[in-house]
Amino acid sequence: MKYSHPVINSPKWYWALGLGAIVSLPVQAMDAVSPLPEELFFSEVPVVLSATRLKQSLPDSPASVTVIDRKMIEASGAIELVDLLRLVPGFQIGYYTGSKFTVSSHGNADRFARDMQVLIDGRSIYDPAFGGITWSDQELDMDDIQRIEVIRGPNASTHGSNSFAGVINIITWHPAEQPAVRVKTLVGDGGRRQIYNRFAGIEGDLAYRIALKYDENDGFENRHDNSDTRWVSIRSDYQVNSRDALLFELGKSGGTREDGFSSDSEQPFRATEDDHAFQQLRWTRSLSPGNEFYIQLYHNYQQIDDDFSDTQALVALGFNDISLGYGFESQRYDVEFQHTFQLNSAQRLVWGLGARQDKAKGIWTFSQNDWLTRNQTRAFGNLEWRLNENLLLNLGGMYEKFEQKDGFFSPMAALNLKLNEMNTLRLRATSAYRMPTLWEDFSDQSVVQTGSRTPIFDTYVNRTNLKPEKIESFELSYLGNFPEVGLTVDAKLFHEEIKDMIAEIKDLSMPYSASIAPLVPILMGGGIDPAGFLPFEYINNGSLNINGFEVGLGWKPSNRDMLHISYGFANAYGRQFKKVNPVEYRRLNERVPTQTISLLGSHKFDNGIKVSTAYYYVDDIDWAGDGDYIDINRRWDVKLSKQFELERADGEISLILQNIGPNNNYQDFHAENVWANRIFLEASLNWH
Amino acid sequence: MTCLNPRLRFGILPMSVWYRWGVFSVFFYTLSLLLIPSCSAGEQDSVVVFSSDSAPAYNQVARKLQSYLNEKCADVSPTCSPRQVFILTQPTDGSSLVIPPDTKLIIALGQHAGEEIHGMNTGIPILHALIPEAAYQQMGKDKQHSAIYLDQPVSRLLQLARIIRPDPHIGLLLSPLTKTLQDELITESLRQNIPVSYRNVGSTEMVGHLLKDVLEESNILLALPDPMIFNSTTIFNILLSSYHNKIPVIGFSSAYVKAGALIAAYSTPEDIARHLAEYTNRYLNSGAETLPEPIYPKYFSVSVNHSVARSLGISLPDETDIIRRMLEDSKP
Repeated sequence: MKYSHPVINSPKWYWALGLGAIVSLPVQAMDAVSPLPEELFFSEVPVVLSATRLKQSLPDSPASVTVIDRKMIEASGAIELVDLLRLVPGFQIGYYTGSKFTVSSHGNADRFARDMQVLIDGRSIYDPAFGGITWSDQELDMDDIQRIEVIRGPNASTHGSNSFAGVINIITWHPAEQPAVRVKTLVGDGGRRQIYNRFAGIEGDLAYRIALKYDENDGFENRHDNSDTRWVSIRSDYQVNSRDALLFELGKSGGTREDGFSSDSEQPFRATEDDHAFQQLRWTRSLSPGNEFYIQLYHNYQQIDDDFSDTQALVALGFNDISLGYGFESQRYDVEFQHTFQLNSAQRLVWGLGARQDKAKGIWTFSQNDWLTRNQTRAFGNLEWRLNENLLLNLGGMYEKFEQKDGFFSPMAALNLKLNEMNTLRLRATSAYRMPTLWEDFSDQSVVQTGSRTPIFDTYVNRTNLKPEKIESFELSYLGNFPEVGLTVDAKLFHEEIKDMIAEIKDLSMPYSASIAPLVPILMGGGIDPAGFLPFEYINNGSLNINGFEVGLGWKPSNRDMLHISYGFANAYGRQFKKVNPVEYRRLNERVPTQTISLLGSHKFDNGIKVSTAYYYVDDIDWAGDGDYIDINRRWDVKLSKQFELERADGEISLILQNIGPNNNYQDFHAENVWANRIFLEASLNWH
Repeated sequence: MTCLNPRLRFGILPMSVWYRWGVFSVFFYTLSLLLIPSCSAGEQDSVVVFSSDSAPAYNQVARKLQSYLNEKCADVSPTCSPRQVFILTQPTDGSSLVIPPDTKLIIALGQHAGEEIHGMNTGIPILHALIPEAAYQQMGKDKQHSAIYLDQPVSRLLQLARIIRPDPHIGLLLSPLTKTLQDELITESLRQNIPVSYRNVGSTEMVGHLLKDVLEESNILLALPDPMIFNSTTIFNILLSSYHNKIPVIGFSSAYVKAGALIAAYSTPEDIARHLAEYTNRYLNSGAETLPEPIYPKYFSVSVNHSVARSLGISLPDETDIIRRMLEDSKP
C-alpha cells in the first residue's frame, strides 16, 4: 500500500533552537504572526531581566537601600524631582534658588553637594567642575522614572569615589513599558508652567522613546530667580538577538536661570544661561541567567554662562568698571566594562574595569581658555558569598587611580544574617573617598577690570594639590519583611568618620593685591575687614564624626493604601580651619540636622479618586558655603487625583497643594528663600 | 527471520525521494542502521515519524523516539526484534510523500505535519505530538486520531502557582487563540479555590493596558503559549512590568525562564520522545484498532530562574525537588 500526497514546503519555516540546542536564531522567530503554535514552546526569547536589571532583594543587599517606587512618586505630589528624595531617611534638600537644588545626606553640604553620586540609567551626572548636580539641566521628567534606588551611606566599592554620602540611582522606564503617546501639562503658583510630551513605540526589535519638555517658574516670591528650561531626550533599546541588547540614550537641554541678591557685589542680580547634553551607549550580552557582561560609554557636557560687570560696586574704593564670573564648561567621558557571573550556587562575582576623563575650562573660574583634564582608571570587584542558608557575605572594593594623585582603594565588607524569613541583621563596614573637584584643585578666580581683564584682587586661588576626603562608615542594620501585613522595616545604626576634609579657608598672611594694598588702611579706618579682599583657597583639614540611626517603614495593607515613614537622627561633631595665620576654626556640628522626618500616605477610594499626603520635617541646619543657618522646616503637601478613561485613551487630573500647613513660611537654604503655600493643577492624557 | 540488507531498505522508497532528503536523511538513516541491530524482521510492525521540517526539536524527538523504541525492545528480551522506525520529512520539492507498507502507526510531529497527514486519509491511526491542545482541537477530529499535547495540564500549572505562593492569585491574559484553555483553567482554579483575574485581549496593542489591570489584581502572572499575547513586541513590557510589580511569571518554556520568568514546567523533546515510545509500545502490543483519547505529556521538566527568585525574595527548592513534589502531589 502506498499513499501519496503533494506537500508544499514553506521555506520560511525555521525553528529557533530546541531545548539545549546549539544554534542561535534571531528574535524575529517569535513574531506576532507566528506560523505554527508549537514554535512558541521552543523559540528563543530575548533576555529581558538581565543581571543588571535585577535588583538585590533588600535582605540580601550589602548596603542600606531606600527604593522610591512609582506609587510613591505619584503619591508624593512632587513637582521637582529632588523633592522625592525627602522621602529617604536622613536626606535633606536645599533650594538655593527656585531652579537650583542641592541634595545631601546627613547635611554637611553647600550648594554643590560634592559627596553625592547620582546616576541615571548607570550614567553618572555628577558635574566634575564644581561637583553636585545641575538638577534642572537634566533631560528627565518624573514620568520617565521607573524607580529611584538610594543607597544611604558610602558605596564607593561599586560606584567609585564621590559615592560618599550616598548614591542616587535613577532608573528610567524601558520604552516598551510606556504608553504610546503622553501629554502632560501643569500650571500653578509661582508662575509654574510645564508641558511634557512623550512618544514611545516599538518597531520590530527596537523600542524607543522621545520626550520633550518646557518648564518655567518664577521661583521664590522675594528672590530674583525666574527660570525656564527646555529639553529633548531619546532612549532606544535595540534587541540585536536573544542575547545582545543595545541601549542608546541622548539628550539636550538649555535654559535661563536668574540668580543673585540685591546688595551683593559678588552675587548681583543676573541671569545665567545653561546648556547641557549627554550621549550614552551600552551593549549588554546575557550569557545565562545571572551571567552577563556589558560595555558602556557615555559623555556629559555642561556649560553655564555666568559673568557680570558691576559698575556700581566698589565705587567708593575707586573701582568703577569691574567684572566677575562663575561661568564654566565641563565634560565627562566614561567607559566601563562589567562582568557578572555565578561562580557556583553559593558565589556570585561582579567585576569590571573602567576609565574616565573629566574636563573643565572657564576664563572666569580657571583663568584659562584651555581644557583642564583629569584622567581616572579603575578596577572593581564584588563577591556575594552565601556561606550557608542564613549567612550572606559581601566583599568588594574598587581601586582608582587619578592623574596627579596617589591611587586609592575603597573596600567594603557586609555580613547579612537571616534570622528567619522575616528578619535579617546586617553588619557593614566600608570606606570611600571624595575626589576634589576641578574647581577645588585648580580654581583661579579674580575680580577684573572690565575689558582689559587686569586682576584687581583674587577671590579664589588654589595652591595645594589636595588629597581626597575620606569617609569610614560602620553600620548595624535590621531588615524586617512581614508580607502577611504588608509591612517592611529598615533600621540602621551608624557611625561615620570623615577625615582630611577639604576646607575652604583664607590665609590671613597672604599679601594683598597691588590694587588693594594701598587701600587697606582706609578700609580698616572705615571699620571694614580687608580680609574680604583676600582669596579663598582649599586645604585638607578637619574631621567630622556623625553617629545616629535611621528608620524606614513601609506599609501596604492593600493595593489601595500605602504609608511610608522615614526618620533620621544624627549627632555630629567636628571642626576645621576657617582661617589660618592666625587660625580660626569653623564648627561643623550644626551642619548636620539632628532630626529628619517624612511621612507619605495615600488611599484610593471606590470612585477612583486618590488622596495622598506628605509631611516633611527637618531640624535647623547650617548650610555651608553661601548657605545660611536655617531654622526648622515643616512642609505639608496634599494631592487629589482622579483617573478617567476615554476610547483608546486614559488620563488623570490632579490638584496638588504644597506647603499648606500652619506656620509654613519657612526658609530654605538662604534666609531670603521663603516658602509660601502653592497650588498646582496637572492634567495628563495617554493614547494607547 | 531474514537479514535485511541496506539496499533492500532503500528499495522501500523510491530512490529519488531518498535523494531529495539530502544530507540530513542520510545521516539519520546511517544513524538508524547503527542503532537498529543489522538483523531485523521485515514483517515487523513499522512506525512512521513524520515532521514537516528538519528543525532541531523535531529531529530530537524523532531520534530519541527511535532509540527508546530500540532500547525498550532489548529490555524485553534479547531476541526481540525491534520495530522499524521510518523518519520522514516533507519533501522539499513538492513531490509526493510516501508512507511505507506495514505501517501500523503514524506519529505526526507538529501542526503542519499533522494537517498534512490529516489530509492524506491514510486509514492508519495517527498520533499527533509536539502539538498544542488548541491547535489539535482546531483540526477535524475522528477516531483515527489522537494526541499527546505539548501543553502542560492545568493541574500542573496550578501546582506551580502553589509552590511559588501559599495564597496564589492568578493573573491571565487570554485571546481567542487560548479560548479552549480558558474554561478549563478557570473552572479548575475555582475548584481549587485559587482566585483568577483575567482580561480578554483583542489585539497585541491592547496587551500593555490590560496587563496593568491584571497585575494590580493578582500575585502571579500565568503566561500561556499564545502568540497574540506573548511575542517580541510585548515580551519586554510583560516581563518588566510584572517584575516591577513584584509579580512572578510562570512561563511555558525554558527560554521564558532564561528571559525572566520565575519558573516554567514544559516537556522537552526528550520528555516527549520518552512518552511517545511508551505509548507506541503499549498501543502496538495491545493490538487495539483505535487510539486512546488525547492526553497531556506524562514527563516534564522544570526550570527556575534563581536570580529572579532571589531578587523577588521568593525562596524555591531546586528543580528536582520541585518535580518530586509535583509528582507526589499528583498521586491519587
